[in-house]
Amino acid sequence: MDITELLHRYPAERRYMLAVLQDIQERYQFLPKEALCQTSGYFGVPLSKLYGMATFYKAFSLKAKGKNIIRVCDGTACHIRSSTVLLEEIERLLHLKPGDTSVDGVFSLETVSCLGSCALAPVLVVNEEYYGSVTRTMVGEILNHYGPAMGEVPVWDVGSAFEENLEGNGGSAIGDRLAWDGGNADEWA
Amino acid sequence: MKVIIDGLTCEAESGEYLLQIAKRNHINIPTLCHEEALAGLATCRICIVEVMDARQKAEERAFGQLNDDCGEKDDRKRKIVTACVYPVVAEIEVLTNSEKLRDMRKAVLTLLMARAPQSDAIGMLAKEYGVEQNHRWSSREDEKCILCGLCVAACDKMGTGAIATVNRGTTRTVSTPFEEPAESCIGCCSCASVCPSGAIPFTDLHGKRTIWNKEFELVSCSWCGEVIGTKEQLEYVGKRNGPSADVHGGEMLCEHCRAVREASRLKWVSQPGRTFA
Repeated sequence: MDITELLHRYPAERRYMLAVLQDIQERYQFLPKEALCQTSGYFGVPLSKLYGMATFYKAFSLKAKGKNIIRVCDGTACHIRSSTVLLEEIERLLHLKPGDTSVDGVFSLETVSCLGSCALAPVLVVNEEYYGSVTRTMVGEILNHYGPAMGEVPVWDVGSAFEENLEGNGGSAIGDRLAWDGGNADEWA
Repeated sequence: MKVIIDGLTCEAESGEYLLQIAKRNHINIPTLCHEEALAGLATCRICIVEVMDARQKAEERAFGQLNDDCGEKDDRKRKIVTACVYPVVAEIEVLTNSEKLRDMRKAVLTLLMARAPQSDAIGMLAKEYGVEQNHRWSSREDEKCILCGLCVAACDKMGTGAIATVNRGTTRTVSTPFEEPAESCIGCCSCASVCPSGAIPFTDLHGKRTIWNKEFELVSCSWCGEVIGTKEQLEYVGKRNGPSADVHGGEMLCEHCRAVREASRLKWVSQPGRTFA
């Protein structure tokens, strides 16, 4: 399904622009420049307005995204329950900062403000799959589901010096103490 | 209908905006984001005024609080509105410079100054209102833009729509698509000329204009050498309005020289004794 087809599912009226952008985002995981130009032509709206729209909403990305999108919730509840630790762990394993895409195009990392599942904090979502009460150790395990194809050797080192410290406490900051020093893990090793 | 502004009775059509009525009657209301040719935006909040309709006035009078000199004043009855987008539909009384308004404008100016410390227009207004630069909310030191949206409105009015506000919240800014030279920009400088704080830089050098990172060829008047506009701009206008009257025998004339030429031509045809062949 190419852009033209996506466009022609809607009448050429301005009110459908947002829906079209959402469809394009869903189809390509980002908004290609070429697609925005075509959309601008179809609706007869200046490209600048579409660019303004695309940069306004967090749901849109103008950069190509990886095959799997990791969303780490950084809402209040998750933040208190050490979502930053998860981000650090992902950075350690994949060398990704929020907003980045891995060089091999397998993963993209994003933070979101709240997923509405605060009881499960800290929450991590990969594509459409939700993981609740995530601990530092779980991150590597989760990522291994999505990385290289089955049978290949995983590229991520899951082994971690503090597995025993972190097990089974639901990732709460009280248990693993790592939240207090901003997760500076080496001190506790 | 009648509108009383600062005690002066003014005539107004129903639906007219307060700012227009005040301007027509030489009552000065400060503005930043207003431009005659464009619809009011109400983004700068400097043109706020107090409005009271007949009922509120009667109430105030009943409570004996219409006089300014009666100690405790209850002005909660008065609405604060932006004059540039407030249509007058009933007989009202308006204050444009009360103490309350001046205080509110001071607050607005403090914030605008924090946002755009480099802007001369805001600096001048701030001086007038006795507002000091407050470093508690410092924004970028080199910022001039107050995000009023006038430039975007002007560009849309031109029909080019080359710029828009992009991003959101603290990172919001005015930009061309993808921060690249815009295909639809014609270098007409409408945006820069309406900008109240001179935040849009452009250069006219050696017959070339640079604006929004795009370079244009300037066209000058064949008689006096005054810059008329850019080549793209004249082509664009020509496309929209049909062949332009100032292209005459390969000559490009500015407005002034065109008037001179027309006048001389009229003189020539109106000489006594000339007959039209």
